[in-house]
Amino acid sequence: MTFKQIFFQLLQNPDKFNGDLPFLYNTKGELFSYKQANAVIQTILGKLSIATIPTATVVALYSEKNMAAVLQIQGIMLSNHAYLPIDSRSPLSRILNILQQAKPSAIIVQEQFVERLTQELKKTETNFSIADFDFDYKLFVFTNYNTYHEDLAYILFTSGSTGIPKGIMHSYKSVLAFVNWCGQTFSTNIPSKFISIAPFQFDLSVHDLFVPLLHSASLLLAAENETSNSRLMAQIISEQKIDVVYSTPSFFNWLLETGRMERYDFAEVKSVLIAGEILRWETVKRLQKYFTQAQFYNLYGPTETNVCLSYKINFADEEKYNKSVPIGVPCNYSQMKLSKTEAENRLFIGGATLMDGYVNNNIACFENMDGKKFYNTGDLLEETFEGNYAFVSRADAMIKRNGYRIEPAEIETGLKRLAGVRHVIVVSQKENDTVKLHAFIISDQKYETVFLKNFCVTEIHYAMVPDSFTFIESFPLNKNHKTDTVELIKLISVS
Amino acid sequence: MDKEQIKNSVRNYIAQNIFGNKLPNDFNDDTALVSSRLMDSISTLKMINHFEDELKIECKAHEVTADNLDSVNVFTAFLLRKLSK
Repeated sequence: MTFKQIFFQLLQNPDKFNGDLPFLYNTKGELFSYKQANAVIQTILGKLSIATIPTATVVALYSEKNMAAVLQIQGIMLSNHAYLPIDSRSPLSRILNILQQAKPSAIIVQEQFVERLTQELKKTETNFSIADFDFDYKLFVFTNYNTYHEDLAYILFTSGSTGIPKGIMHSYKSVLAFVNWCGQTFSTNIPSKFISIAPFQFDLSVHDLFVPLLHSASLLLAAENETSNSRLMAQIISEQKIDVVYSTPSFFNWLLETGRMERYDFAEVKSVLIAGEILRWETVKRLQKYFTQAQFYNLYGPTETNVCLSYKINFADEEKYNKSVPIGVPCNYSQMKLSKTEAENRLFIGGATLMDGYVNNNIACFENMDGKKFYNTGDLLEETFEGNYAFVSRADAMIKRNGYRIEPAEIETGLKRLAGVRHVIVVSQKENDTVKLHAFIISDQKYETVFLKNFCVTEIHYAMVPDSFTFIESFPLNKNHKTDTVELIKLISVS
Repeated sequence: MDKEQIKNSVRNYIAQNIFGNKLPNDFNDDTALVSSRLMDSISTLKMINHFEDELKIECKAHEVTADNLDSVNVFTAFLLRKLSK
């Protein structure tokens, strides 16, 4: 039996799918029981079957975050395709780049995005047909597509160090190992209530989409207008009596700073899972004052490996290591190796949740160690107490901001599309719990700040918009003749 | 605080917290802040909290929308409505 078959068996347990347990709901009062959800998924399966989408290909989903999209993802997987979620808030140029790289056999497109996507695809003379689909969606079917291996489950695109997004491929082996581990690690009582906060193109969503299903639990789908409003999120988590919350330190800090949490009772929250960025003790200690009944976990893992280390937070451990909350020890499916030098301990990860590779990228992305594949995370760790590790810093320029992974090269490439711009360097600067992005531009033509911010939103990605833009004549150099970023930062206040 | 004082206070807050120091030359009181994503959700909520504390008003969770926040003029009008209640 393949990993895919085992996964399908776990998710499609007939007892569960014939029952009236609530599966998926939102704050508008719309709800799908497991039985109703299954009926919809079967319809989606039928429509994909009629469209004769070839197996071992990718079906993309271009949609807002909503309940229909959750069911479409299940339908895509059960019809033997890998899913590729597209962030509908991304600029169209970025979406087209992703589609060109992944070459899906089909895209399920929410009605409101159909026209602009159609117009853009026609410009590139792509051969495709459009048919009606379920809910208010259309199905775009392509004659030119990539084939992938049968066990591919999903592709998530993230920021790329070459200046364009890169697609990370994960197999069913990876999904299965992760969801089983979640079941063993986090105590989940039936009927638990999970909340989906992360966008589907963010790897935290793999937990939200599949772990509740595995436990016959229900999933409250928070809409985009809700996840962008910390006060609504605090209210929803409290009033909907959510048991399991999974998000980034940035999200929880935002909730603490602006969510007016003191107005609500969070006694129903049993598990708080935190991942995606360095976690400070101060954050979890403040959270504990509100989530009084919760167990806290700090989870670590880049999109290439999903979660691969975890730490069940014990507040007494702060005395043993206070620089940050440790990321713990490897999950039972992960293997870790540290490449130790005097200056650094660089983390390499192998095991069941290791990605299959990058889409269309022949650059070696794995290291062979003792005959096994490992991924060089670029993260530098230190050993703390009782075998637990802690994150120290990055070995490269990659930045984490509000949970998003940002490669400065992608912003630099985007800004260079402006007429007259010759060179761009983007530098990050930590400011309390936030990260500021500063763009330094050498250009024959000057632009105003509002124009530049609007340009970045429409051309790059909303999470990557720099906080400041400084036009300069030349980049200062340090004694090694490299750009002196410390001197650059000083120029912000001068400009 | 009268309308002009509130508007000035909103302008100053945006200059300090969104643009680092001073308002850019191409910024005006109708420049879209939220719908254009010039302000992200974190800075939007921080701005609401700041003016709640400063003006001793209380905004409901569902009021934190672009309809009430999308420019200096729109936000000033919203704050004036809250103050008049």
